[in-house]
Amino acid sequence: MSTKAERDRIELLQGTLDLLILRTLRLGRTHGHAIAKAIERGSDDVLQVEQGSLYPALHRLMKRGWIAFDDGTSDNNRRAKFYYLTSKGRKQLAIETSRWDKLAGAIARILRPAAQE
Amino acid sequence: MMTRDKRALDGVDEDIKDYIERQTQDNIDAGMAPEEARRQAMLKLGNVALVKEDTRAIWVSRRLDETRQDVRYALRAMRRTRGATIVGILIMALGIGANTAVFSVVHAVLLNPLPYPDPDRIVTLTYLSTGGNASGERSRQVSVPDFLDWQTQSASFDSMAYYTSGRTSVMAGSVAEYAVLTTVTEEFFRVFAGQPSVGRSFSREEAREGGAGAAMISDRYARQQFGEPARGLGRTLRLGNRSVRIVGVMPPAFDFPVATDVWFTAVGSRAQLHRRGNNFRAIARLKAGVSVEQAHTEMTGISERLGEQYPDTNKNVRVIVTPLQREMVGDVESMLYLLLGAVALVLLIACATMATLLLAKATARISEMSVRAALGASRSRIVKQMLVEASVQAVAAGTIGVLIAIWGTRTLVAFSPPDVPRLDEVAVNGSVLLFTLALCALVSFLFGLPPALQAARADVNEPLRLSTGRISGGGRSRTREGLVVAEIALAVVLVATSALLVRSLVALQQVPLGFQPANVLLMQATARPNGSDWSVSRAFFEGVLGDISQLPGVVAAGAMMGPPGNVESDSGYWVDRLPKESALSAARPAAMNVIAPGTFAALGIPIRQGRDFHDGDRGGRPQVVIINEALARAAFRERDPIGRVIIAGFDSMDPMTIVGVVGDVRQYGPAREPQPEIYMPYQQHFYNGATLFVVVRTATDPTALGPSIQRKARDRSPEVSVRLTTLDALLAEHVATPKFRAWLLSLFGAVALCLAMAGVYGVMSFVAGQRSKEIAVRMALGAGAGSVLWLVLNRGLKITAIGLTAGVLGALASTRLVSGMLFQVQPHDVVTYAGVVGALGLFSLLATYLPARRATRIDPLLALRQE
Repeated sequence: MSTKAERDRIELLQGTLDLLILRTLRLGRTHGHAIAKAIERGSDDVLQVEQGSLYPALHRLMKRGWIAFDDGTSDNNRRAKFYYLTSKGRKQLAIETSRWDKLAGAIARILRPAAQE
Repeated sequence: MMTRDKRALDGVDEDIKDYIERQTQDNIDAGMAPEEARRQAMLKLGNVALVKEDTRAIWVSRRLDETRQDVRYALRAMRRTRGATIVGILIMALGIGANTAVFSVVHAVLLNPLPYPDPDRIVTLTYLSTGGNASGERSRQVSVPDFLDWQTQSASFDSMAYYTSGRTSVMAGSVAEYAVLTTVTEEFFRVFAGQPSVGRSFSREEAREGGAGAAMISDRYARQQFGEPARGLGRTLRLGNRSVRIVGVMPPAFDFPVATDVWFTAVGSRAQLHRRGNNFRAIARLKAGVSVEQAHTEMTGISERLGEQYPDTNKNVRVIVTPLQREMVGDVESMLYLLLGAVALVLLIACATMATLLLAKATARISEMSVRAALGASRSRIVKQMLVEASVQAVAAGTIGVLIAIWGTRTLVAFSPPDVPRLDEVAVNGSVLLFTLALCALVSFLFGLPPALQAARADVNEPLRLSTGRISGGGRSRTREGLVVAEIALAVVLVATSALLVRSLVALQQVPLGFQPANVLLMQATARPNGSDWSVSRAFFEGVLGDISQLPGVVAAGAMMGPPGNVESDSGYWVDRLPKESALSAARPAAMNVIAPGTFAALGIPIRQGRDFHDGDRGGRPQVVIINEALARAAFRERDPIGRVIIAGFDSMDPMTIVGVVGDVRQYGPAREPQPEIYMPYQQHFYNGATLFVVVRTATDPTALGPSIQRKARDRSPEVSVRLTTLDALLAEHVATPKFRAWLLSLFGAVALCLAMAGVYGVMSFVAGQRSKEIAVRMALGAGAGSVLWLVLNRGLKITAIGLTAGVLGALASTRLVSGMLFQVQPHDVVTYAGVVGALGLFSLLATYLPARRATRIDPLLALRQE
């Protein structure tokens, strides 16, 4: 189904899928499949949206009010939901991004202490 | 929230479908065959059902979701067994509603503290006879000299007061009207720590012996007479010859003694009051920290000392200290506890019936539960489902129960006899409602659950295999039958008790009263003398009696002090001459009445000997008297009383000559035998002739003549207060309490009977149903309808017989408790018991017969194939 070899794929860390969905939707409103595809493409197919995790994640974000949706007709003439970032979600994205940066930096410092010197 | 999650979840299916289509297209674009492309797309998404479930779970907690499903399922199950469900819910609702209603009344009347500060410190002081023929009898009326001694010698009380209360003529405006006047001493309001809402309390100067006096009025009376409380201040009330200023208005909550309109303080001269002039009631407030027992001990000591000091009057007289609340409740207490007991029995029967029905239902559902368990439902899930079903029923029953409780409470208040105090404080009691509701829910859970649990625990295959062929037996059916036995037994107790009360009521209503009460109008009238000129009163009654007898529709008219059934005065009497001083207190008592000529005829009281009074029997003429047969028997035996002399310590010690003997009437109501009675002409006894009941026998409905009779009185004098009633209404008060409890108990008995029969019917139907296969086999092998009928009947009759026996034993033990409420019926009356047992047996037979007959109509082939 995708071009990368199985061994190169990394399952997403708990909670990072939410962050990536928010980041993806910053580019504009789109439907569920496109979101998953964008994440995979954007990571050169390294990151995989785990089976069955996309829709619960979307609804979790909706429940928190960070994203919303419009009912729309997609290009292939099917009814689908078009998700978009709310202003609350935009703020949350900024918070989550800086939190991720801190986390990634901290982990990097531990894993590669020499690089810091 | 609800709409947002609905909207979000609405399109999930299509959204997911869209995803799969797109992924399929991507895969095709990547070169896969269409079939494989779709398969891979589905794999990538994951298990569609699970994805949907997980997505739903974001919005709705799973537990809530399951509960919703359980509720839906429960509702469906209830619809399927509509009849049984409705019966179950109604039984529960009835139990909840009836109990809440009765307990709400009991709570407000018996248990709720009185609405005064520190109400448990308010006590009454009453006499208790400890010797002589009245030994053990309590008397609430006390004398002023005793009270004053208690006051000076005791240390237990903060404040003490005495009072007397009664309906009397009061003029607030230009017309005299009856009002309830309570004459009190200065500390009366301090006993209650009661403050007026407007104005002030009595001053010491107003309340002192021989002082000017003052009045306080109730909120209700103030609004009635003056529009609003504040406008009553400073107004003057005329009480007889006295004019008294209103100085304060009490708040609406202050209502003691019950229904008082005016509190009046003016202590007359205390000097010549007699130590046995027991005309007042005494109340007091205990000092903080002093218990009722301590006060009681102190008062016992004081009354013993008074007994030594005044042996003529106070020997064998003790004082009892009673909390006011107990005293107010008085005789009502036993009636209310009877109702509470009865309604608790109804609740027990309701629970038992509910339990039998539930057990039957749950057992019938064992196979269903097994199927659910086999399909993977966990035990906790099955238990939860039963819980939800029980709760759904409880909620439905609770809702109806609340309505029954509200309606029932109102009905109880509306129909309760006049001597029940504090009815205006009655409101549906929330905590009792919750308690009964919880109890019913618990019962339905307790009896619904074990079969379900068993189903879930057991080998899932076994019940499935046995299913309909299973012959009921073992522990559960014993429980069920035990419950039905209990239901029948409890029903017997209730029905027997109510039957005894009903028989007492009937007996009470059939007692010959000695007069004709129908079509008699009564008009109480108080014609106060003008100063010491008592002729005013006499002239009024003479005139008005003449006027009234002229009215069309009036058959006869008279007047008397105490109408039969409501005689209040009694006094000692002596025949021929007064005995020596020391033997005065040994007088035999007789009822005392003052009467106008023609009254005996108007009431239908026969004159046995001699003559009636006539207008010639007036002041200045020889004093005459008429006695009743009971007195003639008691005082004269076989000798002729006419012409003999009698002396009564009523208003004078003048000797009076007996001129006639009349038939006996039950002066104190139907429950008491006729007592000796002395009738005196009102024209010779001015003082007690100022307030009389005018007695008017009418040709038709007496109330129709009321207005014109009242007008005749008003025309004569606006200063005479009048009040209309009928003799029937007055007598009805005597049977109000027996009637109330007989009716309520009958109602409860009927409900208990229905519930017990529902239980019998339910269980027998169930047994017949369970044994249908066995019966089919028997019939297929040639058993006749009769033997099949007997098979089922036999079981039912055994249960009934045990239940009836247990019930009769229970009833014999418990009807003893109501023996004080019975009239001319023994608590172990054989006829009553036979009737009750017969009736219940018959109903039970019917409830058994119907399912048994149905069992004989089984088509053996159908029943055997049912598997």
